[in-house]
Amino acid sequence: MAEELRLPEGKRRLDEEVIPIKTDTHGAVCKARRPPASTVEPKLKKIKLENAPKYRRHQQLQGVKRVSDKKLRSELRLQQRLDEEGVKRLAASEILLPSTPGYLEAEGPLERTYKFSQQDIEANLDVGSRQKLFDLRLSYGPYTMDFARNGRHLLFGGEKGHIALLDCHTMKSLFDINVRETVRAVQVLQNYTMVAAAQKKYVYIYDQNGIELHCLRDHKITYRLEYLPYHYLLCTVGEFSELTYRDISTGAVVASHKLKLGPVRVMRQNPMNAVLHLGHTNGTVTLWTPNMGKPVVKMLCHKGAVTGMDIHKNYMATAGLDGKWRIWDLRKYEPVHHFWYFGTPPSWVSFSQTGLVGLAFGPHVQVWKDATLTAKPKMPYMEHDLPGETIECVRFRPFEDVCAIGHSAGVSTLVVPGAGLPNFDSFEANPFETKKQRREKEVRDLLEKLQPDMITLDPMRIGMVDDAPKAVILEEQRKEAEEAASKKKKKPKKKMRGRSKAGKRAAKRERQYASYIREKAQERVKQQGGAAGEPPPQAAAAAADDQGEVGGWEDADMGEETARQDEASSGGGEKKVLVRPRRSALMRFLRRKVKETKTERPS
Amino acid sequence: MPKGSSSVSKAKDSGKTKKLLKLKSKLQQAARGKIGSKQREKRGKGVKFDYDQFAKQFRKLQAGGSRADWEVADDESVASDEAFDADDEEQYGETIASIKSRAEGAQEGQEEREEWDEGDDHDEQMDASANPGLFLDRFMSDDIDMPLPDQPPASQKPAKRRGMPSGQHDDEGEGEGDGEEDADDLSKLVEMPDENDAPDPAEQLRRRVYQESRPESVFDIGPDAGGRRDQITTDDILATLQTDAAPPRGDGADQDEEEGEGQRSARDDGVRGAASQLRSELETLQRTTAVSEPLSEPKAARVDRKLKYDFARKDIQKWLPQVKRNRESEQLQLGQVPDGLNNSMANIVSSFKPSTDFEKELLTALEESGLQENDRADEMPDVGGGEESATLKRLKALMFREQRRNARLAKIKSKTWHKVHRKAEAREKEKLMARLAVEDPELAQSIQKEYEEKRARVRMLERSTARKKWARLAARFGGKAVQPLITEAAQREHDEKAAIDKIAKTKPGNAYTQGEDSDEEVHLTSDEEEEDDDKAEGGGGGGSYEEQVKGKAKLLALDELKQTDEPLPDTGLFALPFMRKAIEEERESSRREAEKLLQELEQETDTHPHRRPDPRDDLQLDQEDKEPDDHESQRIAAEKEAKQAEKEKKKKAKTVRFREEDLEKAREEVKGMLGQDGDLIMMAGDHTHRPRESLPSAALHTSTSTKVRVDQPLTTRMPAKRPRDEHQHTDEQEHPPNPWIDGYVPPKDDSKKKRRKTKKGPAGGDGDGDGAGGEEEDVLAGFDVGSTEEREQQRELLRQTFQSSTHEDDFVREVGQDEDEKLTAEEKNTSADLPGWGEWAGSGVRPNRRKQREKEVKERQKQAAIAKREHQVRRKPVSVTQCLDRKAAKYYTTTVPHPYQSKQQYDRMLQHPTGPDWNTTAVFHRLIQPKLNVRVGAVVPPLQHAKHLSPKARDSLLRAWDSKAKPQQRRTKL
Repeated sequence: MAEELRLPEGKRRLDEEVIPIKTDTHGAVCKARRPPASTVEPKLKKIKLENAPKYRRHQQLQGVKRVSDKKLRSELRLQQRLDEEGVKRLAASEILLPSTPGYLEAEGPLERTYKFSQQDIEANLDVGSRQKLFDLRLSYGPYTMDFARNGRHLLFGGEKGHIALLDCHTMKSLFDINVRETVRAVQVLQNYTMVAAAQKKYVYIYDQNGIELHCLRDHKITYRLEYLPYHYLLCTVGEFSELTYRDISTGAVVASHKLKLGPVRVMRQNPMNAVLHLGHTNGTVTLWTPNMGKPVVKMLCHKGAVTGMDIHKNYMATAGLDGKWRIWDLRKYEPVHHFWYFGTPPSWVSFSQTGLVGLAFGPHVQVWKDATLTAKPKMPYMEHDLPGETIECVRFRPFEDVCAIGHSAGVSTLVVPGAGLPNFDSFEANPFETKKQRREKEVRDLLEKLQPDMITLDPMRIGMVDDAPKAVILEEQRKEAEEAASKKKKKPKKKMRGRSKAGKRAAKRERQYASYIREKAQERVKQQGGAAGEPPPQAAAAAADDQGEVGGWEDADMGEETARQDEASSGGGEKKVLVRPRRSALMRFLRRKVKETKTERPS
Repeated sequence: MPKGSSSVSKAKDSGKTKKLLKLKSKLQQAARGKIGSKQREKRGKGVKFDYDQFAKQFRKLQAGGSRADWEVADDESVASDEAFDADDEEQYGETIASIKSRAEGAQEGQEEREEWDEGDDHDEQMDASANPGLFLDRFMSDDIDMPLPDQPPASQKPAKRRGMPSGQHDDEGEGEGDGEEDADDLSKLVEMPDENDAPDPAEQLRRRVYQESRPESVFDIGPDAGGRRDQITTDDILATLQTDAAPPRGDGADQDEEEGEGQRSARDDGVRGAASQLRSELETLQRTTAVSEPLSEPKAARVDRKLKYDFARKDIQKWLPQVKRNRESEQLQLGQVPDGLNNSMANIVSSFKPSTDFEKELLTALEESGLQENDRADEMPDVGGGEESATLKRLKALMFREQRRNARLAKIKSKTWHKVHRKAEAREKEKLMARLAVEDPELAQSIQKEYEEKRARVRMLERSTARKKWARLAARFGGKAVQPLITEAAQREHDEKAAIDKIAKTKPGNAYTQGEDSDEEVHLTSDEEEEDDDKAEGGGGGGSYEEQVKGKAKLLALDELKQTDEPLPDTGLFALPFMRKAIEEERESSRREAEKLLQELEQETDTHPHRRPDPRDDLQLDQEDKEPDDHESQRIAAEKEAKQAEKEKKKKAKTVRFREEDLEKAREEVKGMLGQDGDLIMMAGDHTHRPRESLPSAALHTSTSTKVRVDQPLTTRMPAKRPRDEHQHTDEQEHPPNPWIDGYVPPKDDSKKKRRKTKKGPAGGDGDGDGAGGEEEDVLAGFDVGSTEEREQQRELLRQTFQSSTHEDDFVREVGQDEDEKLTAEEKNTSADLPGWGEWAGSGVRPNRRKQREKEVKERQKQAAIAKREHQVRRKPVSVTQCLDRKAAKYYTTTVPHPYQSKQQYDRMLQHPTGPDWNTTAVFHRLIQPKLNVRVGAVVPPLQHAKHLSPKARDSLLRAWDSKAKPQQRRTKL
């Protein structure tokens, strides 16, 4: 039996040839293939990489030893090992990055970096860097600005109606328009081809040629604009204290929260989790997501109105009217440091990509370095003054050591060494992107668009195990099942003898709808009764009154008279009651009478 | 044989009987030494037990339903036994010859025997139906059946039989009629104890089962059968053996009859020895008592299963190390990885072979001319020549490659190719048509006609599309007549834009001298334009300043009036009707303005002929005193002065409008609005006498406009702290009017309170901050009048503007409210008692003490909780919502996915991102690599046990197979 296996006809002569499949003594294929040469990376020596913690996103899993399942245990171990290796390699691959960051350094103990003037620095700059500096004297100030995400385009808007988009490489303006009304905020959207401006009344969207694409009339008297690039959300907030999220890819408003916190003039996003931070006049900062109608976090930051704010990694910088600006740790919601400013309160606070803090107050600009570190810096890193002007806005240019300031007399740039990240990821934000690349990126970004309800305080939780109480989950599941069951379409029976006539069917549908509404009404009445002790008499009476009628119910707001009665009885507490509108002439007459008497009576 | 159910059993029975008979005869033969030496040799061979077959048969035996099949098969094989072929004859020639001779001798008894056989069958049938265990007997008897003397021993599958394990009970023996085989089996059966020297435990078990499941031995078929002369028992056999050993005296009468005298005499001593051995073995066999009752089916199945499981387990053990190794390996790579295309120059050159005709031709030509590299190398072995030849070789290879590539590209035809092709075709067609016209004019004509029709249709289509296009354009732009207008408009627009650009590019001073749209300029700018005017009138400086100003104003107004009379433009952008209309409107309004201004000016000169000289006049004089030296600077100074003057004038023009009577009016208005007494107004009036610089300029204007500027962001515009000197100033002022608030009423308290408060202010902050705080408190106190709503508004406004300690309190309160809301909601949900239930109502009802106490305790607890919470919030003024974000819940999993056992394990898996954006390439590939990677078309080698085939042999085998069935596709197509 075991002596030989028959070969296919005519193939016996090939017996000598041996396929070089790696096998062990038992004949099992055992050797894993080496990865292709292009992907082979040298094995790392056991060295400690200083920058490794920067890349570490995972924690060591405890108790792997105790896992009883052998297979799982080995899998977990392998996972740990791979992740560790991944971190190490990322850290080691940093040497491949072409540029390194650098800062201004003072020589000797007496020299101060903040005493270096822009002229001094400029004199020692190379030509390429000097070309990035400009000073635009414009008469429609004060100016607010925004850089495109790759730092190539600068959008600025003067309060008196001037909006312009500048290509910072060629120094040519793509458009330069005057909208002849107040411009309060400007924002570059996904890329420079679409920009938004909050004008006197509405928010407008322009293309790169300055042609008005949209007028967003839902956003009224907007003070601040913010754009969440991964979710395609344009967020606005303003005079009426309404935070609105609008998806610019579909044009739909995905969420709108009434804050009830007064006009909001400070808003920034946390780039880590796309949560919006709003600064209020009562000194609080509130954190918002589209999912929640209430702030996810509310913190008192200043004993005066919040005037400026920005977020960088786990830190938030706020400036208030109480004479201080502070650094906050967003993991603990605790202050890290506080600093005093002088003169006018800061109108703008901004973090650079490397974590420098820029402050604009009155005619001064200050840049602080290492403000988020444990050791509090004693003095600013750099300073710049524009005597006689008011500086409105400070923005650091991404991937460049340049900071743009918008002031009452135009827009200028400053050199701030070490402000920009030295290396860019061309798949993420490429300052030198070509038209084709831009288009490709547009498509890719759209495909990778995140849903607005994925915005949570802790984005790492997405995909993980739900930690809500079991009861909540079960209840939800039950509801879902119920809904699914109710959604199932029932095939209407075909009845004979005229019972399936169109009129009859319509009547039946109406009857069903009426009963559904009645049910709902009863439910609501019950709820209100539970809240107030007993059901409101009108609602109950109405419910009793209209039992027999079909289609006579309307989910209407309270009629005026009942509203008044209600107000009189329950002291102004607003209640929504189902009321059947009464249309008889007598009733109308009575209502008018009541109205007249009410208006006559002095309040 | 008939195939009915009764006939089947009959057939079986008859078969069985035959076999028994065969056994008997075989035994006799054995006794006579007739067993072939060949078969004897085979006894010793240890062949593996074929369990599967065994089990199959075993099952068949036990399952009553499937019994018939087996019997049929048996029957058939019995029938087939009759087929006797040449092989057998060759092998068993001797035996057959003897049988034949015997058959000839006993010709007449045959029929009789057959008849008897049939009769016997009937009996057997009865037995079989009575006792199912009989089949097992038969099964046993399989091995010891003998051929009937008249039936030739036909062996259908000798090879197979040989391959069969000799140590086992062959259950496939469907009544094989070959005597040799049976004899062999018999001997095996007999020799079994000896053969299995070291019996396997499994084997033993199997045997036991086998024995257990054997209900009856073949030797005790039934008591009634014993009376028959052809019923054989072990005793019979033993007896036979005894008789064999002694002089021949057996109870099988017919056998004795059959045996010829000559045969009997052929016995010798050796045979006798064998017979005795056989006998002893048979005796041992007889001693092994069989279980009398069969196992029930499920039990038997259980035993069967267990047995099978044991076997399977043992069998599968051998794979364990391999499976383990495979499982532990990171990736299994099956199939060779093809080497990347080696496109190096060296490779191209070395692997060049002439393939096309041209190449071949060229090569031959080269050879002929003696330029072939090899020859050259032979001829000229020097270094230089070798180099040259290499170059030549390379060039040649590259050239051919290029050529081939070009040919390929040419194959993919271009547009030009098509064009040329089409033209050529047309020419060809023409030629053909011409020829056709000569040969067959009618046909040519018809073709021509057809063709022309087609052309006409195409032309029609083209024309219609063109018309449609034109119509579309016309509908959009208003016909072709409008086209020039459109272009003109475009041109104008362009010119306009260019002009604006030009203006923007020129210096601001010169920008408005062009005087294109003067009214626009008046609106847009203030200073520059006036500067120009100054320049114009720079020289003339007669009269008092006021007069001068007035004169200028008049002039301006007149100029304005004059301008409005100018004819409207007929050409250009402004000739458009809506533009004209706008211009007209604009002019109208400006004319009205100018007239009004003129009127005012005249009035003023009438009412105030001698106005108090403005202090600014002095300033101007001072400036005039400082006369620069040189002429140039003088001119500049003059210009400056003129500018200054103009500015002053402008200011004046504003202030002039609000002279005493205006102010009076404004006061009236304010009074009316505030509804306050006149004292305050007077106070406010007093304030107006103070230097205006100290107040926000809006203060005055609000008195006239009575509007709060809302659109200015308050927080940024209002300075939180004022310079110290200003503090001083406000102290002097006591109560500065709040420009932002309509119904501002200065506080009635005096500076005492304020001072006290300022002292009380928070100690931590710097002076300025404290001052602000104190001030705010004071101001707040001042706003404690008016309705609650107003007060709230004021407070809110102030709080927005200044630092205060109320923020913290507010925050604590807000947080408390939120919490309370939640608590009350929870309480409502949890409390089961309905209000009014379980209580007495009415007058004179004593309150329930217990309940009251409970209530009190609850209240106390609540208060304590509130206090604690307040303390906490004050210490760390943060409130994180406790609400669950259920909208995001759809992105969570409700249960921990397999194989993870805990939430931590699963969550940990997600922490490190997998994508290439967050990992180096190698790590990314490693993270996503599949466990098994099979090249397309590769042969996946089955697991091979080492004992069966060496890896080398296995691989080569696969290789062979692979090369035979070559896959067409070598790479995955995506």
